Amino acid sequence: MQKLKPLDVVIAALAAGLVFFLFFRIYSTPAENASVVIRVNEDTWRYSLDVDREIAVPGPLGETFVHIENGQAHVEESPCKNKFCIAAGKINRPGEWIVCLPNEVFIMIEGAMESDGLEVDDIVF
Amino acid sequence: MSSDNTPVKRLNGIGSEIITKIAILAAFSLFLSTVEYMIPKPLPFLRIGLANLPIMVGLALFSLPEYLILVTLKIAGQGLINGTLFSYIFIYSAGGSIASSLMMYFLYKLFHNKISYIGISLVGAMTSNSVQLLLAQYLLFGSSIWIIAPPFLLMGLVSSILLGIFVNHFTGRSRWYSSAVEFSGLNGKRGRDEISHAET
Amino acid sequence: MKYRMQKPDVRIAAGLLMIPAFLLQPGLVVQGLQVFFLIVLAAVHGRKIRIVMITVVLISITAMNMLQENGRVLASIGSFSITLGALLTGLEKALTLIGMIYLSQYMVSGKPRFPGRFGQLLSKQFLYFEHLVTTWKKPEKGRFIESLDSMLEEMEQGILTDEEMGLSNPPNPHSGKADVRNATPWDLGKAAGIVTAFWLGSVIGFAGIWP
Repeated sequence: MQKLKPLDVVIAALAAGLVFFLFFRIYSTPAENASVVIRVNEDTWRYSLDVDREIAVPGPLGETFVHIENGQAHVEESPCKNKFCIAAGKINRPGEWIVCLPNEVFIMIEGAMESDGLEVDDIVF
Repeated sequence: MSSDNTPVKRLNGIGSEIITKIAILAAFSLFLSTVEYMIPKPLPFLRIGLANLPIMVGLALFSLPEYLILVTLKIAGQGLINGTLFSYIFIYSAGGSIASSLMMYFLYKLFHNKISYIGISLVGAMTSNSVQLLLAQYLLFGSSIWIIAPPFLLMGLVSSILLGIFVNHFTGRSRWYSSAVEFSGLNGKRGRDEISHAET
Repeated sequence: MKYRMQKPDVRIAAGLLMIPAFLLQPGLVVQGLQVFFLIVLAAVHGRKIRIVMITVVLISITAMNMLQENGRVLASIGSFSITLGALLTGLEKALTLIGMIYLSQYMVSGKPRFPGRFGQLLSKQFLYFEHLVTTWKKPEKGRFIESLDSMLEEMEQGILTDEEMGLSNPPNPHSGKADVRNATPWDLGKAAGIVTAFWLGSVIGFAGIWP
């Protein structure tokens, strides 16, 4: 019968190391993938921040275009007059938000470190 | 019968001895997956991967082209029996099997004196599982598949060690295997060494 | 040399013709109907329907895709939200997988033979496999390896006659010789009917009549 040989032990150690590394890596940071939450009045949409996409959000004035790119979200175009929401730039950390008051669109990043300090409805109206 | 045991002639003819050995091992692989299916298990998804025993046994017997024929037969045979040949479950099994058998083959050729079937089985299982995870990410589940990666790989780790121990026993005790190693002449020296070790 | 299609090849051809209608299907409702059709088709041709497998595939793939939030929130449980986009993506992937499995089951249900040397090799493998399955006896305790080994030795000693292996008369799937396995007009008609029905149903989806 073949016996256990040196390389077996090396490989077993490497494989076990890899598996434990993955356990640690994947489960120790549970909510790493933050999401973009978009609200208009009573409606809510949620998108993963990991996937690039362009979203048209329907508001009272028309469609506000939100882009998710490279783990960041920003307003690309908006039917409002002042365009503050576009000027707000890019957000990516939990708790950060952009609001477009004229079009009643509220965009926020939610994730593991989310703070409950802000009440969503207070900001929109 | 082994007079025409040259690399060119070995594969000639459907009745040649090496072709017969390949077909026997490929059939054996299908048979072992049926056996594994019948063995009662504590959890339905736990599997040892007995069907890979003939693939590992083939390492010492065949040249690379012969070995790849064996692997292809195993994949195609399973696809036909399970009926998944034309679905993309088949891409998983084919992707995993081809990647892992190539890894095992080169590992065996490079280090066969320093490694037993435990290490080979481990590398094979890790390769096959990783390839399947990658395929699953792109074909079915998206990146959230990595949430189940750690337990999936851990099960593969444990079961492949068990399978490796079993193959170590099998190759030591099987008379069919020792005569096949002698016949193959590929690892002539090693083959005989191994057999003499086994006898002592 | 007149080419005659063999019976199992008809099903493979029919299956291949159905694949585009299935994979290019944009509507989820029609896709669901297609999957149902394919499951029934496989069952009619003698393959088993595995309800548990279907359920597990459906639930696990949908659940996994749900983790990647995408679209309108339908419901929230704690910090977990079910979003419409993710739900549809998950269902679509799961249905595609299940449909392809049963389409494939139908395609191989005629026990197709592959042409050429690889085909011969495959039949040889299956002859050995059948021998193994039919002669296998439960080994005594602790004699598992020995009983496997003796089966291998037995096969090596030539359990198959030349005739069984088709060596004296190698199967040539493309010979013009009359063969019981050759497809009859009835087989062809049936397959054509299945393909046509499948495509007709799919056109409803293409046309956007159903979601």
